[in-house]
Amino acid sequence: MPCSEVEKLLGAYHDGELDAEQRAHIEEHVRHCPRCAARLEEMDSYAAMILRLCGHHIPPPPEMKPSLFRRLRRQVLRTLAWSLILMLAVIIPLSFAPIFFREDIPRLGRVLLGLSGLTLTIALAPFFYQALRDAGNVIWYHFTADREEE
Amino acid sequence: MEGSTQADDATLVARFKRGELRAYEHLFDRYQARIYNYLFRLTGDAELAEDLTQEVFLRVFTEVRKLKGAINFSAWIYRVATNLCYDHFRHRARNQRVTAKIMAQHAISDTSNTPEQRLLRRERAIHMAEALDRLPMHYRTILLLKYAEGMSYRQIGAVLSLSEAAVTSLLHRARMELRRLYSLKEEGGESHAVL
Repeated sequence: MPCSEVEKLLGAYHDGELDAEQRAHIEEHVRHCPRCAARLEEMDSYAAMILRLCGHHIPPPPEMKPSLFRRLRRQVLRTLAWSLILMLAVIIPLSFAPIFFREDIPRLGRVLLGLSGLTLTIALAPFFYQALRDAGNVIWYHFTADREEE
Repeated sequence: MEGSTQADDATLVARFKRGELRAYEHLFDRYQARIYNYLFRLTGDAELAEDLTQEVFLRVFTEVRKLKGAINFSAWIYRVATNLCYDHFRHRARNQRVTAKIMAQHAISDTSNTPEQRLLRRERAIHMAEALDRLPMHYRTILLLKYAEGMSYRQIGAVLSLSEAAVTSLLHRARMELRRLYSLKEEGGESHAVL
């Protein structure tokens, strides 16, 4: 196997990603080629240096978990609040306008308004359901976790 | 081992999808240290790493349930962390002294015999840190996934959405670039195989 081909596989050999046959070819080559042997040694040293420089394990700050759950609670409740605002400000008025203003709006307008309210309700139902469910889960978790801590 | 962890992850993900926040908490407990350390290695900033880790888990909360079928959660969460980090640096200048900052926080233990050897090793470590910091982000990421996170090519491929052949090729190019930058730092353009 020529050096140019070995060079391409040397990294994968170093990382233990070659099959037995390819490994044997590389080992045979490296035994007789000082240049490729030096490259392999160099790869070893680079990997060791990267590990020495960046491989430290630092414990995550203990405040991270409570802080995440606070952010999560805020996010879930914010989504629920926006869902309610959307429902109160857009969907309910759209759906009930044809009933309350039946004298002022022509029949076609009432039908279109009613249909758009219905379409929006159906389209956003999964979103509302998810927002309610998330809020319920987060609030339930919040109280049960507190009780467990006590 | 990897298989059983994946099975556990899959169970936790399924429980979380059913609405159990305890399962989400278990996923957090299992991955927070790994993701935090990975992000710290990519950013060199403990505060930013903490913030991005929380962001990753907020994404887990909203995105996991949208995923259909069996997922490799471990690869998926690393992918989310990587993408969030890339997004962060797309809008802000990347700190060019990431590894140097990591080095400053962790005294590198040295068992060399003589002060000269210690000095030489220290110098080489600094050169390597500078070379790593000058690497393009995708090269730095793949080298960290391989040598700091200890992932196989298959796992790296799953994280970066690449085939194993593409991982091999990208790692080869990353090593070549690292070698070039490190050689530039070393006097006379020679790289040394000792640390």
